[in-house]
Amino acid sequence: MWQVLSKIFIRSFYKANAGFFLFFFFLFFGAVQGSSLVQYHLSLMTSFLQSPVVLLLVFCCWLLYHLKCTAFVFNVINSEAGKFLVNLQTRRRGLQWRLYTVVYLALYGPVFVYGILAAFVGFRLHFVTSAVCLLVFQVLSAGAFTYAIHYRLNHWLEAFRFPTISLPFPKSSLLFVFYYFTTERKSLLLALKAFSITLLYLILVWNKGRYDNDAFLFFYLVLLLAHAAIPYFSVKFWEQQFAVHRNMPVALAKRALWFLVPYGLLLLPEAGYLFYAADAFSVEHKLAYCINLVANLALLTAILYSEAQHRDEYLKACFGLVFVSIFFLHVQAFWFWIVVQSAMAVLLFVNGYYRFEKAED
Amino acid sequence: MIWAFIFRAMLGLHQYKKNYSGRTILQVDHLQLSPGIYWVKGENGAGKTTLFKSIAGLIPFEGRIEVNGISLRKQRSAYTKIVSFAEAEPVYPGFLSGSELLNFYKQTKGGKTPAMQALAKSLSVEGYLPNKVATYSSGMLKKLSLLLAFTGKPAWILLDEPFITLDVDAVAALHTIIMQQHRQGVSFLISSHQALALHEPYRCLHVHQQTIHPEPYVAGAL
Repeated sequence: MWQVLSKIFIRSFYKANAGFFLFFFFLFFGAVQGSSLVQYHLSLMTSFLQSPVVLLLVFCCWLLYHLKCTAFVFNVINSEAGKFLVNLQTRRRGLQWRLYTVVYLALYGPVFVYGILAAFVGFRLHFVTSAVCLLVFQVLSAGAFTYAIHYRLNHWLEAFRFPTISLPFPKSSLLFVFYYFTTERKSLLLALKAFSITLLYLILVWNKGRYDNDAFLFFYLVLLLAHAAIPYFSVKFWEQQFAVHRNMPVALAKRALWFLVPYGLLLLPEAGYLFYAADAFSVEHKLAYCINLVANLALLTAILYSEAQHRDEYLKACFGLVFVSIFFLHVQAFWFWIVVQSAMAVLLFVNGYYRFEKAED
Repeated sequence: MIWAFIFRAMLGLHQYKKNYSGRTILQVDHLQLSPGIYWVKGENGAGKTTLFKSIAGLIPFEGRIEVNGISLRKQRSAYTKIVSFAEAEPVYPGFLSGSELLNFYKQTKGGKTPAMQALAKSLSVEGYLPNKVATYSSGMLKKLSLLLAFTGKPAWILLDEPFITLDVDAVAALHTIIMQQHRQGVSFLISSHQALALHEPYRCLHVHQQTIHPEPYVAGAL
């Protein structure tokens, strides 16, 4: 029993999210030198232990990770391949609880361990209230989400689904990708937006008194890297969920707009927040940062259509692009870099689009 | 004018080759298909779906595919306007309704609403067109994909395993629609493991040993 659950939930979760974990591993353990790693994490923990506002933000991020784990488990249960899990309800309740708790903790484990360590640091540094809050949050949230899974597996006729957004106008093909993210990738979109707005808040508002352009650039590039998920899933949407679109008499330029228009819409929250909170920038710089985001996603889309559709190849391309972006953005050659990225995107898209063939998963 | 063009729409494959991981799946030096109905036969994995996907423009290939000189590679929009395809196991975005998909097809492929309504009625899909595709059963999805393939004014329609998952009434209705459309000048490539139950003559193409063998006799005409 345990082996089956471990294969269907735990292994597949870490396999499906390898890129996600690689990104966060790099962010938390690869971005600083080994010698200052402990100090880096201690100061990170102290920052949220001593400020209730930051602690609340951290709880929000962990809650999003909870939603990610639970959504994954629910998707497996709701899929055709997961139908056999109906048999689990014949097992004793106690055994079921133990099984689901272990499965859930295996998924939530990285955050759970980090949270417990942070609580331990909190007690040592006399931030007792924050440390207790951390412990209570970890235990209650993990318990609540385990209960949700237990409830779902014992109530097959009442399948829970996240609410969907219905917009009161006809669905234009230009917005299919936008609808895809707001209906079928809600948790990813929500996590992405919460993450990027938090990054912008930290650097533009929370850190306002000690503003540093290099620090902003670092946060901006992390935001850009996180958004690399959008082209990846957009291409996946068109090529897997709607492969027959290639049989439609639609010009290549309009096919490019099927990506660009949704990207613009999906980046509106960041653009809005940048214009609202970035007092240190001129309007031209704000505009350049926003357009650069769209140009970057356009180039990543074109890269996906030119032989880099596998996740690891794509990740390499993403990191490479961010690395090159550092130079141009550091010297504030925004418009030049936007033009270069757009030209490369056009070239790769025109050459690669009709030669593309979906690889077997 | 367009009907005159459709009536003589020849489908040609020239120096066609499709490889997967360096292995040749299908190779056709020269094949010219005159208008008509073709039953594409072949064992599982012979390359029927690969052939259909290549002709429909879904996957890249080496060589040339043309309908009356209109090249898939060079005049893609004009070509895909007259060649339609229904997949064996259709997949559509679950958040769209059948009506929204139909509108999308009508906007790109053209076609008149009354004609589509009549087809939807024949295939018994009009009742659930307003519902989201995610709620469809495999049979309903199959009927929708067939309806979409008939949208516009195609000269050739490629139907990959069109009869699987369909109920008995729908199978009969589909045979009738194929014959009606054929009388209006539409040609068909139909892959199926069962012989076609048509009242019209049709030819057979056998996909075997990585190539296509046109069979000399004419079948059908029950």
